[in-house]
Amino acid sequence: MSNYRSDKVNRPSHHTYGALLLVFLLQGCATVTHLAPPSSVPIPVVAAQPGAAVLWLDESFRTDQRTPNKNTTIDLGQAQTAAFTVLFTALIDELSVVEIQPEQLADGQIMIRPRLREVQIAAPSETYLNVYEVWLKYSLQLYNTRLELVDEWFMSAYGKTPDNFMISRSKAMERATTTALRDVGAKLLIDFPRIPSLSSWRISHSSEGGL
Amino acid sequence: MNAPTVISLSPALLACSLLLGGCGAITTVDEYRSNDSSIVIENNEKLAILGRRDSGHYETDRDFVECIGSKVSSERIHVMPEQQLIDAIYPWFEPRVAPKTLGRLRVLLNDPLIERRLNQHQLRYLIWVDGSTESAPASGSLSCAIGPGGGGCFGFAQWDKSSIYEAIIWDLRDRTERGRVRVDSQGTSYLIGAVAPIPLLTPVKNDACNGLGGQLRDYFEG
Repeated sequence: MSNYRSDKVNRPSHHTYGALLLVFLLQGCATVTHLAPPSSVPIPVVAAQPGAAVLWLDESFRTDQRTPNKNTTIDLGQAQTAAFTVLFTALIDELSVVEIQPEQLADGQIMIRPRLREVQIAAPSETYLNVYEVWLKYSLQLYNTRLELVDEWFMSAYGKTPDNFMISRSKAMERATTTALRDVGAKLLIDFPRIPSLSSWRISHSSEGGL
Repeated sequence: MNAPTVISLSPALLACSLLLGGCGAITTVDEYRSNDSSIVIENNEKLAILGRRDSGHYETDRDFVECIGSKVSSERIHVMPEQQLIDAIYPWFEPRVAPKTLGRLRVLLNDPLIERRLNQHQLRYLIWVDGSTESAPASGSLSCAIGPGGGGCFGFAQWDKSSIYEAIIWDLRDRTERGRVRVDSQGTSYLIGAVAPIPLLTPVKNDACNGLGGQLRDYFEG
């Protein structure tokens, strides 16, 4: 009798098996997407701005990882580091890329620090549109020769990709992120020569230098 | 011995051909040319076909653009792959900044850097393709069930699909528009539930690609 009782206590009931199966099934439905988009910003066809600058890509920028919703994590660090390096190398005549903030700048140099401010995503299941969408918001912190912050320039970018039949959500979201990174590049390449606070640097770089 | 078999199969064949005939798309191709002369493309010149992607709610499908490219491409007509051109001229053909009008294209080509890069690739013509394939909501009723003894689907559903695309041909040397081709392909697809679901899909997109690609090839081959 005691053996029988012991068996009854230790053996999981059919309800337990059923509950476990349900939990596994429900977990299977809640997929977590982890994206690491490749950097695919080509070398731009633009005339380089005359002048010297330091591009500061700090640790947090190089390893940036965002979670725009509980099911999606995007590793943007590597892709955005490669993209901004390519873009600014094409944009500025004399560019140095650094990982640690320099203690001082050379005469005529400015420092640019890009920062990722916000990431938003949307899938067809949320918007009822037949596209995956990614929004990225960056800012460029601009420092003068004395390493004083003189301006912060904000840039928003957008990428979308069709909800192609037979491609996974992660692949579609990755393509949308890559498109958004290319859009950041387009925005930067067009806006950078027009940033008002850089006009004095552009005009005076050869004579006085700095902001 | 064989004759009765043929007679018994005939109604089935008739029904099948009627059903398949119903899946055919109606495709209309309209064209406009700025003049009657054929478009000349030299052996060392290329053309590129680009999809418009600046609209908010759709993107011109890359597969569709590739499909047109494969129809236009021949021994005499060299087509530059879309992504290769977009990368070669980055960022000027990104959705944010791509020229939508000839005026904007002329401004772009006035930049010697851009003009030189396009000349390096020997690109003579640019064809912009804009459009999408849309499906209307399905009508009819189809239900599927499964039980210990087996399962199956019963009923009937149908939905309309339409592919509307327009191609605009720009001459990069003369900086003019050489013509426009518009294709409109419509059809109805069916899903019949007779234990197993039987899809009868109308290839509207494929027909639109054949129509548009064929017409563009005729433009360049005279």
